[in-house]
Amino acid sequence: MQSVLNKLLLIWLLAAFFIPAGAQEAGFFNSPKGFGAQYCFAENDGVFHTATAYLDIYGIPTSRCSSPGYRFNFSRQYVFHKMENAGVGYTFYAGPGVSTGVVRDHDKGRGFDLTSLISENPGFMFALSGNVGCRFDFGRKLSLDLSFLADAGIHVRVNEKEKSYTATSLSVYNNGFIQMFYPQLTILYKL
Amino acid sequence: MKKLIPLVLLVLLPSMSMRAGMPRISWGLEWGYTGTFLKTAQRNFICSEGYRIVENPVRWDYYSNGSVLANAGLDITQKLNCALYSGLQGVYSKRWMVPMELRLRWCPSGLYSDGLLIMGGGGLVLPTEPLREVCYRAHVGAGYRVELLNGISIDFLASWMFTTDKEMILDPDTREYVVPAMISANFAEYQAFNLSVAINF
Repeated sequence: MQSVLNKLLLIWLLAAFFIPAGAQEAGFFNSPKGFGAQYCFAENDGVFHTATAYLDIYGIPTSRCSSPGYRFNFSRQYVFHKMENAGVGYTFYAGPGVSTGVVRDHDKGRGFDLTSLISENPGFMFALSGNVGCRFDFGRKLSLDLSFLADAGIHVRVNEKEKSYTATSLSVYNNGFIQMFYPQLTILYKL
Repeated sequence: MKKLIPLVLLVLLPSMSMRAGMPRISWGLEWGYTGTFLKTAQRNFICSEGYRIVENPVRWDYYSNGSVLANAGLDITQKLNCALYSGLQGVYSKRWMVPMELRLRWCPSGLYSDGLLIMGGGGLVLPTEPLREVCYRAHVGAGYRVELLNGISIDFLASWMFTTDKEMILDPDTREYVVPAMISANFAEYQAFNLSVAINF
């Protein structure tokens, strides 16, 4: 519990550090990937930026580990289409970004052993990301944002087989691709 | 419990007919964080050595879990909604359940406007792993509803949850499971708080 609170505090401090003076919207990030906060910079010439910090819950829903990882993403979003229908404004966007954090990666085919090494291999992740999404504006203080994000990157962690020697292992960050179809729903509040 | 659902419908039907027209059907999704903080149990069984063991352990352990629930229901009045919830709910370490919960939601300022929301419900839960005996749960809480568009709203909820369970009992000597014929009582209860978000259509 204490470690979760510490990570939450760290994420909020990190998020607070990145709050831009001209932040347009801030909100609550929800996904099967995890939960956290998102800040959305003001749109300018069809381009806006998002900063997302969240707790990575990989392995927690299946009780394979008890403490979450933490993750941060910064993306540049290009608006490519806007429309309005029945009082709802739709803004479609896509763009690149970077992701980093300390997370667990997908453990490769260790089958049904729920006490597998997943709980022991959190590691540093760095990735280039691609994001696509749609913002729903209801003309209220709250708006919704649905997006999908893929990460292409690396995962550096203590080698499970040689951990007593503090050897590190480096691999492709598999969850970056596996979780690309996990929806990300952000409830945004207009500042 | 089988008698409860027809009884609730019987109570609700007159109020439905009081409204002009058919009651509106509601749909929704709810997900959130569950923190289980207390587990109590009552076990009474005869072990392999032939003597009776009576245990009433109380464990103040904390486990993080989550829930994903879908619901379908009816707007009974302008301020009251009744819905059936089901999905997946974590209740303890490596213990997940599929609930079937009937929940009442009362919004003093109206179902389709911003304001306070009070909810309460109960129902059955089916564990996803042995021992798969049907158990019960009760759920009360409150929150705040934000209306986004006609009929679409978001709820921010905080609630307390009580879930019963039946466990596989291990024999302290052989470390094997005690057969049901040797068990006189086997109950467990979990208490947890929920922080959740819901979207209603």
